[in-house]
Amino acid sequence: MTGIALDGVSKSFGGVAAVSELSLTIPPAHMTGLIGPNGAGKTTVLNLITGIVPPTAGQIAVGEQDITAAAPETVARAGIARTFQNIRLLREASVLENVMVGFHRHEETSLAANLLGLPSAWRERARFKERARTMLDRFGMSRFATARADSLSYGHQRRVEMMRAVATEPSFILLDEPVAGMNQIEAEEIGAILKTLVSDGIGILLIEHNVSFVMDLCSTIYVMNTGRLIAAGNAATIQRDAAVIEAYLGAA
Amino acid sequence: MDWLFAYQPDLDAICIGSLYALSQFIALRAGLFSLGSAGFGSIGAYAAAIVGMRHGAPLPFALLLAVAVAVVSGLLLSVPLARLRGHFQAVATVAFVEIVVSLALYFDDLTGGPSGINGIPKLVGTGELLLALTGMMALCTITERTGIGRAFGAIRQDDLVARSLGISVVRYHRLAFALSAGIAGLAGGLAAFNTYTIEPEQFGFGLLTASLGAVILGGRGSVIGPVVGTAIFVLLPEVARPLSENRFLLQGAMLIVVITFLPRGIVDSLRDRRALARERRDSSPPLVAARSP
Repeated sequence: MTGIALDGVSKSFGGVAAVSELSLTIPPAHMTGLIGPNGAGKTTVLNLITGIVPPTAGQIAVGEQDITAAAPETVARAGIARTFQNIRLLREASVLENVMVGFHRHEETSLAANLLGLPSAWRERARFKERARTMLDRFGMSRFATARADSLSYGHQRRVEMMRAVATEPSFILLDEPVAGMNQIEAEEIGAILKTLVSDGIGILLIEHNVSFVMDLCSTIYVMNTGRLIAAGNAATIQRDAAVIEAYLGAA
Repeated sequence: MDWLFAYQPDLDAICIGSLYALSQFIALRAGLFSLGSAGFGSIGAYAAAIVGMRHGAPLPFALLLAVAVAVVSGLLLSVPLARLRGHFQAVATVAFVEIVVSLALYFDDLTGGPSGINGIPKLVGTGELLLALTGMMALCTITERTGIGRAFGAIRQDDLVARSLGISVVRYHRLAFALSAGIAGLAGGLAAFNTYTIEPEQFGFGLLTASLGAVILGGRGSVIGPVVGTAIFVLLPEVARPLSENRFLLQGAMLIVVITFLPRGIVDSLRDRRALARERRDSSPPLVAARSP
């Protein structure tokens, strides 16, 4: 597993270039950041990787597998999980159920066994419930197990979405603004959880507006502006980069 | 016991109607906007009546064939409809129902045309109908609580989230079509051997709205909702005899009232209210300090 690789990827929406000739790599067991001003094309990059929109040009691969313009479910089965910028939970379901859906990829019971309600179906349900509870513990969310997902605060909803992504047991997780709207303490808690995921070998792509959060956590940071990559490197390099300073602060 | 016999036709109608409503229910649970239950019911009814009457097949075989033929047509219909979502799916399945009605009218050698098939022996009584309804309610409940229900729920609530978790919407919609068609096919087969006669128009738009209406009226959160909805639709004209001439007007008015005031249907709205009341009672601070014993 050599990571997710984008090679010369472009996407235009009706003549407007959202992403232009972007090449980047997301290695396993590292945290990679993707920052840039509003409208830079960050979320489009995430949608391109996860197959929600097909690229106009270029190649996307995970390891040896080509996932250019693959269907979202194919990308998920290739081991790539994601969260959404505008949180998308199963609102009618409980927190525990939201996490349990994430295990779908690892379901072993056949459709027939499920339909007939054979013991194997109930055993699997019990097993998933147990694993979901363990996950809730890890994210400090146990007391919300039976709460309806839409009754939670914004920050807690973000955690549920992250747990659901982790439940798919992915090789990579792509996070779209995971700490948006969170205070400093909440953001630090999320940062600590992300570090444990990385030490488990998961590769993370972090899209964030909170630049200091990205600088603290990411070994490599890519900076985009108006659909183009304008800089790449570690936090220190990025902070000194003239193009980055101009993109964020305007020309001097 | 006499009163029970007097209401036996109503009980039979509730069982058969509930099966159609369950067929509609299972499709909606999977986020599949299929309104094809009436068409699958027609296919099942004609399949059962033709092999039972003309070829003398025993009842269990006729019913099995009704389910099998309906499931196969459901699977076939799922192929072109896999590309459609939401109200486009609904429109396509309404067309399917109308096509089935037309075919039943047209192929009169096989179906008897407009006059239908008459003099079907009454081999299915209230007992068999209750057994079938219990069985299908159990099937729907099991489906809901196992991995299939989790996948259905995810697709229903957010199609894109489901896909990004690796759930194949096409595969589960195909399954939902098969389940919905199978249950409706069984309902049609049972109806053929319960009511002596079947004719094309009884499986048309009227049955489609009755099945959908029962689910909306009763509630789509659990299998109880569709059954309660059907029971109300069947019993209402009996209770309000003077109004029974205007049965459809009454049904329509009830639907409007329920959608406005109990948008989640009778069963689910009442459940929500009870849960809310319990929550308030549990969490409200005591007005007077509790006296310790």
